[in-house]
Amino acid sequence: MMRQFIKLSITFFIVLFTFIFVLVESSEYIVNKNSDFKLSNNIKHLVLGHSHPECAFNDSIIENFKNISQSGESYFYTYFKAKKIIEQNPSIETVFIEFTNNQINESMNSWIWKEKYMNSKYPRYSPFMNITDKMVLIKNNLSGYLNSTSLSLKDNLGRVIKQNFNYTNSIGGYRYLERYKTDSLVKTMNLYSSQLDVVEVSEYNLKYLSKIIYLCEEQGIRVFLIRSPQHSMYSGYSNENIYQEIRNNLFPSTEYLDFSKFPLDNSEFGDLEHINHKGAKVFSNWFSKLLIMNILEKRNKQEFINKEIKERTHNNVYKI
Amino acid sequence: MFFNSIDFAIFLPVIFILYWFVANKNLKLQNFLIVVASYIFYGWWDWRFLSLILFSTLIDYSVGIRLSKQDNISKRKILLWISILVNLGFLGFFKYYNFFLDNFITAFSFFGTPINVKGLNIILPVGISFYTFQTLSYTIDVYKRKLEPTKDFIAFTAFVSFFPQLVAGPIERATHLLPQFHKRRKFDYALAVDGMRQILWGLFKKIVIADNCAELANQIFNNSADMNGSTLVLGAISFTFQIYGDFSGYSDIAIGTSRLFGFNLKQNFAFPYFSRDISEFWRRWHISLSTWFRDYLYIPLGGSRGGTWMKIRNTFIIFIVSGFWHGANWTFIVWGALNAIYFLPLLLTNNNRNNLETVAKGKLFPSLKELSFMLLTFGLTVFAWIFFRVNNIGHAISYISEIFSSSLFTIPEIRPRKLILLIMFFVLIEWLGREGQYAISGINVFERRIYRWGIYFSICLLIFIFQGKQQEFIYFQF
Repeated sequence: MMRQFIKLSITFFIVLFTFIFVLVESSEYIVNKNSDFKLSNNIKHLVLGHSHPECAFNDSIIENFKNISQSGESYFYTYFKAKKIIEQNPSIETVFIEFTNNQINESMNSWIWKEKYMNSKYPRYSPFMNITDKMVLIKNNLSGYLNSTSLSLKDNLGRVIKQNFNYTNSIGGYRYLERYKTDSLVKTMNLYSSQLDVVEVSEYNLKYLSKIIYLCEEQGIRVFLIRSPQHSMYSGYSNENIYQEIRNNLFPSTEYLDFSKFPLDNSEFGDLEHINHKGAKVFSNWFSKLLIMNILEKRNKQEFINKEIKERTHNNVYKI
Repeated sequence: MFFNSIDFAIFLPVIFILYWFVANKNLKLQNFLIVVASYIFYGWWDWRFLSLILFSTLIDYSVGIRLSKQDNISKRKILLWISILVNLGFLGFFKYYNFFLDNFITAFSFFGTPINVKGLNIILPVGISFYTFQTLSYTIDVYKRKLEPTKDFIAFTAFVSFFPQLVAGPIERATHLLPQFHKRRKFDYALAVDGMRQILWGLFKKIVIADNCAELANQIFNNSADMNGSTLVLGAISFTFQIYGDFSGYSDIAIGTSRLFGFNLKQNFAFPYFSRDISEFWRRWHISLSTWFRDYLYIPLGGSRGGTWMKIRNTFIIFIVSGFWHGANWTFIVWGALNAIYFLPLLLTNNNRNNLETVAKGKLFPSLKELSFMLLTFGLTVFAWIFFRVNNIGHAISYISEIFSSSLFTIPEIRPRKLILLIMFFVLIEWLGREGQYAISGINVFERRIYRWGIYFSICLLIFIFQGKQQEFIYFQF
């Protein structure tokens, strides 16, 4: 009796898990095969990253430009989005990838596999992941992975049933940030300590950044690492030395454009790390001008940018 | 360790195999394995508090042995009080110390002599209210000579710490559970299958109903100041199903798990939301706690004998103590008192034992009268649960005031269609299965395995697809 009970229980669970596995895999296969990441044909430049570029690049102002950054997104998930977009949009010539101080920190690991992040990102990108990618999540948070797989199955089945495979509305975009907290934050915060933090690095996040760069280069697309404007009191600067070291060592051949010192006053920042819609308008107009001035073809791009920034500061556009 | 965790999904089969294949020929070994498994299960949460359970076990075991050798009434009373004071002392310290301190400080401040005493940063040991009551039942029953004290320390330790019901009940009586540890258990196929089925239904209640309702209830209760009356009603209903799915789901998993090991625990929930009056509700809700209070508090106080005032006093005492058992907050006390107010008219008019049978027994639909009474009782229960869920009395007042404003007649700001469909499905299955121990216990009517498995598969798929965000069991905090 006991053996029969065990035999039947095992059979039951094998059949159940096989059925769920087939359901998950087949729905992911159908979604992957039909997924629509097509952008409009005139888009030549993309910006990818988390909330910093999401709030900084108002793509309605910049010509032939699309902002597909999304809050709380690690490079792990950006990779799958980039892969599909590049695959389906041959018009893309340039990809700007936000590479800022907090993206090297170990805390980025939680953006990859902590339940809160996984539940929102995994269902969207699971059809485009292979087993190696999924193993990253399984290895680091099995129960969270199972929870996200369930959400993903629901999401994918919904897409299959509704025959809705369009992703262009759910993969990010410019965020009109109506926030004015900077003055109060500056008043209440302790003076920024110049002491350097001990930084543990998120190897997974950096590995997937390398994969995005490699993917673009493989497709003949120019890649730029960029740093969006940040407030001078942004706490992320505490790892600046390590940040620069990682950039120089891991991505020596990838061009880097640093806009972090772009002059904006407190009312143009939403808080110490995001610029609000007013700042985005100023910055995007300026960035658009740079593109028109063919900055991407210039030899000393950063020098040119620094010079422009300096000029804006001196012209009293930047009011402290 | 949570029942709905990967850890438990590995732990349970391992212990099951060891229990039936390695320890099956030796009762002591089986009991010892249960003790080890239970201590691992509890220690998974915080091993430091294992010492509390062990201490409580040692005290009650020794008191039991001494009581059996003692005929002197006053010495027997002293032994009983040692057990009561130790057990309730732990409970009082860990659960109520800060509550009393805060209230003393408030009272002193009110009378113009503020005192400056800091509260302690105390972690409430999971399940302390449950195992304390379980061990107390042993000592009291031995004292009353209803039970022979056990001399088998391992069996007694297994009884106190039995992992399926250690942290959130059902609170078992020593007279019912302890003898099962003294008898050799043989594997019972039908019992084990029934256990698996009950676990499955418990998981559905917890993962699909409770966890999904929790998300909505949390959203509404945490932002109640910004919500209209109809949305707040929705929040209260959502919490009503959350707490039922959560707690009865836990009980189902506990009872089902025990069955896998050859134990029978008592039914803890008997479809309480189909009750036709509040007294029926309390006969069907958290039965193990209600009967504990009835037998060890209400009846010793005189029960419903004596005059009207005695009845009123005893009713209030039992309901308020029951509320206070749930947590050190005035909201639980008000919740208890409110239930006493609901209950009293029935008691005083001798109508408290009108509905002993299952509603509409043998019929598919209830009569209009039964339906009306069920809805009325459900409504009263939903209202009382508001006090159970809010953060403090002020929150309750603002919550209820908004409900009874004109905004009650506006459209809810949140319309959770998926959740409503899930709840309707759940209520339907519970209604169809209300004459059994749990909703899907009657699946055996399908003789062909393929039909039964089809139902099990469907429930598993529903759990997988509609699982909510994992939440801790509510009753862990009690």
